[in-house]
Amino acid sequence: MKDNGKFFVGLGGVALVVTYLIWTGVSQTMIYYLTPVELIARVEQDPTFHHVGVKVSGRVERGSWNRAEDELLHHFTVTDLIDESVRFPVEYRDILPDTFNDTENVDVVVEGRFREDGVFEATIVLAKCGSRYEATAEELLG
Amino acid sequence: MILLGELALWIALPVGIWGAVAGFVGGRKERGDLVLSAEYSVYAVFLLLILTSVGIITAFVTDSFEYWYVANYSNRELPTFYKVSGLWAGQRGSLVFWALLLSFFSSAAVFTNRAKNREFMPYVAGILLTISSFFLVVLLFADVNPFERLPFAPADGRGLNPQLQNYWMTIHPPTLYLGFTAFTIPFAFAMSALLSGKLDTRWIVITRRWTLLSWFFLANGIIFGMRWAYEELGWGGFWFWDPVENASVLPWLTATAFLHSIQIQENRGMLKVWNMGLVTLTFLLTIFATFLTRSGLIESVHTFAENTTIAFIFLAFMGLMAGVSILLIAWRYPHLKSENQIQSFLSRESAFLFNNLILLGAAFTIMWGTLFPLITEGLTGTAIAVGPPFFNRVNLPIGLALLALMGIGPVIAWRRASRRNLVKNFRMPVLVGVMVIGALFLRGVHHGMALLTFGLSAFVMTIIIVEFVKGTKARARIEGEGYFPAFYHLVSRNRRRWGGYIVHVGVVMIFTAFAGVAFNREVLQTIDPGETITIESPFGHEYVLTYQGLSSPRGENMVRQAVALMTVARNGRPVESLRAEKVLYVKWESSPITNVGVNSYILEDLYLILENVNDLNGAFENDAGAQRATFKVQVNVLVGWIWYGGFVITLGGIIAMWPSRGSTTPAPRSKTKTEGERPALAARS
Amino acid sequence: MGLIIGVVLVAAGVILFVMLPVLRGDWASMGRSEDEVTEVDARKQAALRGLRDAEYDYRSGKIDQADYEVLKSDLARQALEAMEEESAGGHTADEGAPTDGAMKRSKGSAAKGASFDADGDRLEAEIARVRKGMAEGRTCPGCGHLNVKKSRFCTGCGERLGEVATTAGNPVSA
Repeated sequence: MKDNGKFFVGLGGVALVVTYLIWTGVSQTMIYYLTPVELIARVEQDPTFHHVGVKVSGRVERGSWNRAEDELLHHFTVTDLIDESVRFPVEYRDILPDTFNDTENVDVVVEGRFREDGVFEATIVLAKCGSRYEATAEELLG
Repeated sequence: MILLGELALWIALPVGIWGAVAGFVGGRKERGDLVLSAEYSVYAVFLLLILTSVGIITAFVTDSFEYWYVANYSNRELPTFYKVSGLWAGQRGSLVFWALLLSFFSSAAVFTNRAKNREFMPYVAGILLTISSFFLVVLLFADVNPFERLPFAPADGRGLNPQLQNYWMTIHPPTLYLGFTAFTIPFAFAMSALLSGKLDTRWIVITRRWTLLSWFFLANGIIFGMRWAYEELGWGGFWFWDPVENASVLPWLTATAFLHSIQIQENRGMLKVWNMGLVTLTFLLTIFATFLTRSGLIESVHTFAENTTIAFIFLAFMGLMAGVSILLIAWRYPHLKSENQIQSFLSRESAFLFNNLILLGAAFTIMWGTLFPLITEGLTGTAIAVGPPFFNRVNLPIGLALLALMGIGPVIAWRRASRRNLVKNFRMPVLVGVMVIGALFLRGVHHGMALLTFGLSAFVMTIIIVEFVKGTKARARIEGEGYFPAFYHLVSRNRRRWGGYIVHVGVVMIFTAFAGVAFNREVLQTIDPGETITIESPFGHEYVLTYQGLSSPRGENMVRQAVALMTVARNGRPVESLRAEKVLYVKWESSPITNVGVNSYILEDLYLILENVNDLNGAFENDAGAQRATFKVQVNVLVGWIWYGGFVITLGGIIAMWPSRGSTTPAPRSKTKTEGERPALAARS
Repeated sequence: MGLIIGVVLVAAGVILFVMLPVLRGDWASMGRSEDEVTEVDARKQAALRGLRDAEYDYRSGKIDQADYEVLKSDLARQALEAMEEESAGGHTADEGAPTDGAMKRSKGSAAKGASFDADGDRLEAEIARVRKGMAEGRTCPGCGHLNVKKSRFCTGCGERLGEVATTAGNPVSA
């Protein structure tokens, strides 16, 4: 009993600290993880959403990629995976991952904020090359 | 040969199932013939999986693109090197690879125990074969057969993702897999102890080295992954809190906790239920890690293609194993009571317990953060994610606590440490820590958390060095030896402890390297040949990089590459030049791959990224006018200490695992194939 | 054709190999072998290691003399009990009920308290011998005779010498 007592005090203490860390960690760093459709819907509903950090997963529209000459500034368009008519432009000022391109089906996750001018200002871009998906027999045989 | 490999899979499954049944029944009914058959089955499954693996590799090396798996992960011009590693490049092959390693370790476990620990072995064989059979079932029935064929062979394969075309591909996944699969052995022995009722510390003593081995491979595998990311991804980062990365760290954390808590059970007979739980949890986390990578449940740059069938099968398997383990522990609970109690908060038992709780706390927070999108989406309909800021925030205090414990542990005595002694022993190390913080502060380091990390690191290093010195002196005095022989004997007589301290040194180095990230510098510039980029490191070193231009040599399996050359001067003196590249691999022409150039110095790395070439196609054609390019130059502070720390961990791990006199297997006793064994069996019961 | 024969051969070979023990009635050994660590032995080794580590801890200033003496007597008692159990009945049957074992131990130690001092000398000698034995050769657990390294039989009493066969081999760190 005595041994269990000490043990549970320690356990309780650590559990409390961990819970506190998680709680504050989550509340201060959490971001919504949305699809383009959800993002645009939210923003229409609630204009203050323009100031909220979000993460959006979608697809790079073919041919939409543009890099400014002499400046590390990329522009491209992200479309919804299901409804391709829903899309928004993205602006990004850092190095894009190698898997990024606009010639194949590249799925991206962009993190940042959706500005009032309708451009998504991205701070992080992750890309999963569409061709990373295993090809079906049809695709392999051409 | 390939066909033989395929059929070997089909043969392996019934053999595995038979062996599992024979093991359990043989153990229960004390039928030595069934047990022997079960052990032979373990060897047989291993041999068959070797055939399967050889079959797959042969398919790759002979460019047999009629096989779907080969067509997806290879092409004709792929270097042979990568054709061989095609075995683990994709979902299907990697399942075979896992099964192969598991059956290898199973065979080793059965073989090394062929003449000892016999009471455990029937159930050990049964459990190991059950798990192997699970993987075989998945391979054969979950639509992931690596030998699936296309209606006809395409002319060429799709090629291997260029991000996998580097030598780390042959090192990182195998090392990690070795770590994951090796932990199945301690788990099997633990369950065997529960099943057979042999619940004393023997199962721990038997599996100590296996646990160390698994931990060793996991640690190295994770560090290799960091190295790969650093060298290949081109951002200068080495850890991204990607879900798959996180999943690999979870079992490592719990295995570390387990390595410490078993000492409490060995020395004081406590925490028996805790250890059973930990070994089960760690095993489940290894399966969880591979489940996460395969199921596509959480998006990650690491995942294989999504496969919901596999997701469900793995979930069911994990649930089953968890359920059975919990039942077994509950059943044997009365026999798992502690023999002693914790006598004092100030004791090594207490410190080890804190260590366990903190490590588990870290594992929990990482798991929570990784699964958070799933949880929130399930509960509220909207997915909410947390990223690197969350993980870094939460794990920082945990890391600092662990650092502190690494210093406290060696100094605090078992059972009850006296406060006075602790104060006496801490005085100097604390002083050193404070002095280090002071010195750094005066030199301009004002980053609070980094200062704390450096101070604690110095504290721990001092304590460990003093331990070695005191131990050597004490031994020299007691045994009457000189200092050198005393030191050697000190370490070799207690390899686990001193090897463990060396591992701690490595961990301290790695934590120090993490703190260095706060001081990284970078510069971004677009320049023409002849122009320079200058960057200064926090240590005062000045680097001047002079852009020489782009060249376009042809490489193996490449369509084109553009190599930028920079000559470098460090503090005015020329040093090794840097090359950064954009490479277009065959079959992957839409994604040029960035290769970075790195010059490593002890305290920092000079890191060059070719971010963009204004006219890349022109550069590929060796067009003299197409040379203007954008570069990012970084100084990455202390990053080398991660790899150096990895070496130290490896050294310490090897020392800890090194067999000593008295652990050699007894003089070979042939598994007596005569009736002679039965009387012995009868006599014992 | 050749392939089918090859596969059939492999399959047949494997099945034969796996079923051989059942067919021929070969039995794997399933009981404890003479050489193995018993639970009593493990306890004894743990106690003796604890003693050695306690001495090092004391000499390197981590514990006071008072604490050291208490620790020493406690561990010495455990080691003594284990050694007595061992020489008394060979291997003790341990059916996995350590709670009973622990209770037996604590009851036994209460009785032994009275005779501790008399055994003190014997204990000191035994401990020194065992420690030396761990350093050099083999100490016979039965008669205490110190044997040459790698001896399989005790030259003092002829008893088979058990190998200190903890699989990991390393003394437990304390």
